[in-house]
Amino acid sequence: MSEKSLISIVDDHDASREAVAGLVRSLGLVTAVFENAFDFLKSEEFSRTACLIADIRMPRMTGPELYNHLIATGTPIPTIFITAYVDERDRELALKAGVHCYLSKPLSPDDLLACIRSVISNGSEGPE
Amino acid sequence: MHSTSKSREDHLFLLTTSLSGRDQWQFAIGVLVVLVAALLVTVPFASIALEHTEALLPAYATAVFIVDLVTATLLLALFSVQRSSAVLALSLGYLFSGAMILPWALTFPGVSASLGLPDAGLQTTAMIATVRRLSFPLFVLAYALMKDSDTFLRTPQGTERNIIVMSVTGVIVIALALTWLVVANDDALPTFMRDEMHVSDLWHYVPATAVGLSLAGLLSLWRGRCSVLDLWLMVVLCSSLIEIILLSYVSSGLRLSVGWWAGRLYGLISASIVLLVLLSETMTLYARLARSVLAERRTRDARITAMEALSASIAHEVNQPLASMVTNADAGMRWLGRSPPDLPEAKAALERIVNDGHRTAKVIDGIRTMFKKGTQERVPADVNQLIVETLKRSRSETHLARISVQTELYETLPLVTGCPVQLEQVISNLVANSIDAMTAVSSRERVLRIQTAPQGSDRILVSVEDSGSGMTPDCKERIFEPFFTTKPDGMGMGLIFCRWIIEAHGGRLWMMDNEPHGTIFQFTLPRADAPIFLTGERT
Repeated sequence: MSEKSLISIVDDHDASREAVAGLVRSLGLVTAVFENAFDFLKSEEFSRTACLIADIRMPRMTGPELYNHLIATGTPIPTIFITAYVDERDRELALKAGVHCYLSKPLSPDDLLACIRSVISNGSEGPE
Repeated sequence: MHSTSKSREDHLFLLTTSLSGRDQWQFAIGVLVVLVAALLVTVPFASIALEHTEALLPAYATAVFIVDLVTATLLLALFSVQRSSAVLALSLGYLFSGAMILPWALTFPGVSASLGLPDAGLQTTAMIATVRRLSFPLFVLAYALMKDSDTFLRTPQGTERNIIVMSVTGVIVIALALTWLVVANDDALPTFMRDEMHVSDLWHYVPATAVGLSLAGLLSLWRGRCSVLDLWLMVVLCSSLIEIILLSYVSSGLRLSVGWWAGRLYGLISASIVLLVLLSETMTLYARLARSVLAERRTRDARITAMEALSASIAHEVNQPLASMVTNADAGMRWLGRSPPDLPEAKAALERIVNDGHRTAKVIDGIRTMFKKGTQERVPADVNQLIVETLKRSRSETHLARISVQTELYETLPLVTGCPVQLEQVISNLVANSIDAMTAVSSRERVLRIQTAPQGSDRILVSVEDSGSGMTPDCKERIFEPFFTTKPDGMGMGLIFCRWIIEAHGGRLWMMDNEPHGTIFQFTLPRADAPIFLTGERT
């Protein structure tokens, strides 16, 4: 884990992606943004990502598909789902599958910060 | 234009205007064959006298009276909808015929006595029969002569009731007056009867005239468009011809004989035919109407579902930029709360909020245009004309972009029913998209081609093609999503509005690749004259 943790954000909506990235940066973290999951998987930031924030509804590859892909390929990354379409069943399933947080848009900065903190502190303790 | 399509719709509903189909002709001919066969069976026994059967006459007269009265009422109801003077004449014919059967039966020798009425003169019954026998074919003739010239009432709507009241009163007054004249002046009447049972030579002119009038009625019904009612009126006239033949020729005018009673039976049948047809056709049409109402309700439900989906999608998607604004504002506050405050980052966050705000405003504007007052109004619209007008307006843009505009507009394209403003919005949206798609193309000719053509028997197809760079698979998948846009200043609502408008008009909108380059957007719209009963036989 590098001293400054990298947070990758995958969201197809430009405005939403920029807003989330702006908020994460204002929390003092470094971000990388991606329009879709494929760009993220191909990027050099992929391997350095300490925490992934992914939108759920995206064309071609959705947030959950990306998460499953990461598990399946043996490169799990602590993940936070964000969505404007909150669904309690989805939330339950996601959390059961090991997703760290399921947050609704608009994001509450405190929740987001708490979530990212828990991810990174877990990561730095290195349980894996 | 609108009124023609409306009257065309009416044709589907009314007995007098829906044309008789082949199976109806077969059925009518079948009925006639049975009637003629029954006539032939009766002939050998025709002259057998059935004495004292006059007691049955009041019952017979009552049956005919009620049947005539109900038929007249139903025809009057038809008249009040259709306002055709021909139908009015026919219903008055039935009313008059019904009104005259009562005095006929009451004055019949033997009947009046049994009912305790003063005995009418010898000629009274025969005179009333004559009036009845000659008037009905005259009314049918009047109907037949008026029906094709379509002499619809010119009086304002709502006067039907007065017309009905006046003409019904008139007919009843005339029937009463005639009865009184005949009963009171028996001595002055022509000698139709030799005695109570036997007709005189003079009587023979009456059935001969009735046959002539009936034949004239048959001929005038035969020519021109033959509606369901016309067809069955022909059967009525045929069966009343048989009645006359039985009454006057086969039974040699002998009252209360087998032939005479058989003739009476034919009279009753002939009186009931139009009633039965009216009832059965009414039930059939009613069932068909119920089915179309159901279909309409399903369409409306589908539209409501589409509407709910749209409003849900609008709500969510308006929520999206709002969520971004909140998030950006949170970020901005955190940048400002740092020591020292990070002003460039705070400024960037505020700029994003401004952009989000503009986006939301644009969306709301779009929705407002979409549901503007009057956009739910439906009028006949000429899509070709809308295309020409749209292209005229975007001429400077296409000219600037050096786009060659080609149109292949089907010359006699059927009209559609819709909101011209919205349809024009769709066309101009698609044209604008095509122009935008081609501005980046420099290696080949920029062509915008618009085609229109009828498709199937119930809709038209419009294609808008460009020779632009086409779309990536990702774009294709998302092109109809709200807020998806490939344009830097687009709001991404154009195509979803287009699709919504087309679907609200009962059409479909889709896209496909153009060969070798570019994209084609196509949409269908139902024709204004598309059959409303897909199952109905409109020949």
